[in-house]
Amino acid sequence: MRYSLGFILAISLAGLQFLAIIIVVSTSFVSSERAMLDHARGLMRDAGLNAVDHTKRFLEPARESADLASRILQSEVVSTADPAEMERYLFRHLQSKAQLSGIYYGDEAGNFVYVMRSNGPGPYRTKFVAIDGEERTTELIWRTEDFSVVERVFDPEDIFDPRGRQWYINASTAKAGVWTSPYIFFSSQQPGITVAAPVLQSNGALEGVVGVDIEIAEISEFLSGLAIGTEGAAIILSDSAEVIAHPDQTQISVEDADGTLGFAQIDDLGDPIARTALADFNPAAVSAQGSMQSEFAYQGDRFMTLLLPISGIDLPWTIAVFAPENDFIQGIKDNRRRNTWIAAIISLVTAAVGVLLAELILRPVRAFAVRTALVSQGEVSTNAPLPRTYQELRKANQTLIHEIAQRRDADRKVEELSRDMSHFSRVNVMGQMATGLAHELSQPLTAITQNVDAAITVAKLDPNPNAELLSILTELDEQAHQGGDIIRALRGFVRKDEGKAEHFDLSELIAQTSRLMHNETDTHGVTINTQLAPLPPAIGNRVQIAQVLINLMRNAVDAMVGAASTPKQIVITARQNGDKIEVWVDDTGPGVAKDVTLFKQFQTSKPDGLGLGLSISRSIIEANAGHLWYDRTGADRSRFCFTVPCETT
Amino acid sequence: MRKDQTSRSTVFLIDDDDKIRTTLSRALIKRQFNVRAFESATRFLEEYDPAEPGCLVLDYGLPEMNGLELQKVLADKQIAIPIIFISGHGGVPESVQAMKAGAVDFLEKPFRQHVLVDCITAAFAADMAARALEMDRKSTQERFSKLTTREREIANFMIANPSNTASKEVGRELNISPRTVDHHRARILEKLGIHSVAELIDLSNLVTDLT
Repeated sequence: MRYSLGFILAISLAGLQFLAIIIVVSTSFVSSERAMLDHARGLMRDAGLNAVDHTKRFLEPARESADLASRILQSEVVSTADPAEMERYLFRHLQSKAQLSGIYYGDEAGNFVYVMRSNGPGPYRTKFVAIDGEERTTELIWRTEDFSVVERVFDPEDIFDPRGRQWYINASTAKAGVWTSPYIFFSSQQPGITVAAPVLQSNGALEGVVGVDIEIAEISEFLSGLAIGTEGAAIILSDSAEVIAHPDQTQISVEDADGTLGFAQIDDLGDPIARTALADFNPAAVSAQGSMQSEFAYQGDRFMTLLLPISGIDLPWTIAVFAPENDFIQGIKDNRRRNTWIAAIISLVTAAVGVLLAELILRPVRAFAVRTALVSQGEVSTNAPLPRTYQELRKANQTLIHEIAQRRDADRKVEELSRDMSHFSRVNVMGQMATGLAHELSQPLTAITQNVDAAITVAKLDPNPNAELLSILTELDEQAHQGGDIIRALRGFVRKDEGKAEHFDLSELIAQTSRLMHNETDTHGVTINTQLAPLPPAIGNRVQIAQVLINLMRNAVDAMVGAASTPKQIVITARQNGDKIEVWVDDTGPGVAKDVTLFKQFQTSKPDGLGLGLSISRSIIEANAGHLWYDRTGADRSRFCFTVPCETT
Repeated sequence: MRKDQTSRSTVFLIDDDDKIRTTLSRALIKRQFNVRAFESATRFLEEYDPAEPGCLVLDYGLPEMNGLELQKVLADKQIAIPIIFISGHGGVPESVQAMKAGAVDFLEKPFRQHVLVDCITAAFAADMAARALEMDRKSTQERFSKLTTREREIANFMIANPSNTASKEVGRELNISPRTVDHHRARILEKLGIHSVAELIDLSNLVTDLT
């Protein structure tokens, strides 16, 4: 494990927290953004429809006025032949309709009566153009609210002819009420529009045309008062893409090349956002589809556009509403940014909490780990009180303490065995050398005494025995026996306490001696395996049997290393056989050659060996009422066997 | 006497050391003993006929089956040949063990020849005596087996009650007339080749089962 528990806990907690918050925030953002944008479109549509409605309501009286006047004149309620009566009628009508700026009637002869609001000597001004044959009279009369004359002048210079004006031509051609294109009124320099209605004779022929002027600057004022988000705006466009109403009225009129005022085109607008929004304006498509929605981007900000036709009053106008999306979703975006920061801060806090928590969780674990290390090094007693910790660790501790105690106990026993064995072998090798020498010498001495005896017997057979020869042979016999006595004395001298037989666990002893061999076997890459059946207690001298096991294992290691065998493996098998335990020490070495006499003292195949190991081992085993031999039956292994008496039940 | 014994008995020598086998055999042969030498206990067991009288001169420290083990095997087979141990290791515990198991003697190499010879002689005597006793026991047993059921009944009664051997008492006990007892008694003594009831009681010590 490369990372600490604390680190993992902190990262996981913080990461999960951050992820959860981000997911919640972004899903709520996406859904709320969509909802807000839908809402925004609704708002824009409402604003657009509102503007449409307002425009229609604003323009409706003009049309009604024109229709009413045309019907009145046509039905001769007011005679078109009497200009004074007509003026009175038109004056009263204009007075009652505040939003109209002028109302007038022109006939086929070129006569013209025009009542308009005025900034001049009186609040109203009437213009009469009377045509009498070739003679033409133009009179201007300013009146007060109560129709009394303020000033009256003639204008011989005037050449106005209603029949050449657009409103007249349109109405006479259509024989129906018509709107003219919007224009800038010459007199007031305000944008306006004219509605004209024909006055027909009873035979259907045109008698004249009634016209009503209405200034539409008021629509621009209405648009400027319209709230569409905070930055949104609505403008009204004519079918020739002229800007006829704009929240900023100064944007509407531009001076043409000939010095007259005309409506601004879209490209003339000072507002680049409006220009971008309406770049692809197509009035025909708008009126065909009813309404059009679109989005566009300007300098990184997103905008929404809504185009609505003004329907119902025969005006080919379009209301364009556009607003930046941020007007509606800026709050959400801000909220999202804020939430992201909050998520980050919460994550950091969570991470900190995770670190603290991990620290809190880990403290007992660490204390436990430190204690365990100290216990295993023996610096703290296993009985020392356990630091406050978790139940799981408490259980682990019990197991561990038990394990450590067992291992220490095993170590102590192995150490004891090793100590006992080195003492034993120090004392024993001397004794073994002596007894071995004694045995080796006793054989030839015995042979000598036997030969001497045979010689004496033979010599005595002679009827005349050679006395000198007999004397020499007798002496020789005596000397050989003196040698024998010395050996016996030596044997008696070194014969030491063989140790008492005891009951011991042979399996445990095999395990302990295997551990004692670890250094040697590890160095040479030898493995030791044991195959131990359940065994009854063995009877004998434990330390001496251990010495034999060590001797046999060491021989096995030497043999395998000497022959560079692979694999190098020692297998120790022990099983009960009647009143004995039989132990096999197998190795994967080359085995013992047929011509080698095993168990003979002072005979060895090792360059630095004494040749005592096997003979000592055998005498030890025999002293313990057992038996040691070499088993030649296996082909693929070398096996030494010995027996140790055991308890029988 | 020796000549007589040696002509009939054999020294069975077992030692794994061929020098010992050669020299010891030669010396004993020179002293008029019959000697047969074996290199191992196994070989000896293969070739030995228990009917052959003699004694065993046995090396204690043999490989594979050692002297003590051979002693045990022989005891298990009820072969009572006397054993003289010879040992290059000496060793009081070993000798004690060997003697307990019935060895005649335990000699440490090198030993004085007259000691060995005395041991062998004693062993031969013991062997002969044992064999003679065995022979007696066998012939007595054989003779006892010739008795009829009634005779055996009477003989057993007399052996069991040596103080009540009068015909009257035996007859009363076995519910037969004293005359018949007298008649049977004469037949028993005749068949066993003895002359008195006292001899019958002596003989009964030799045999283990009379019934």
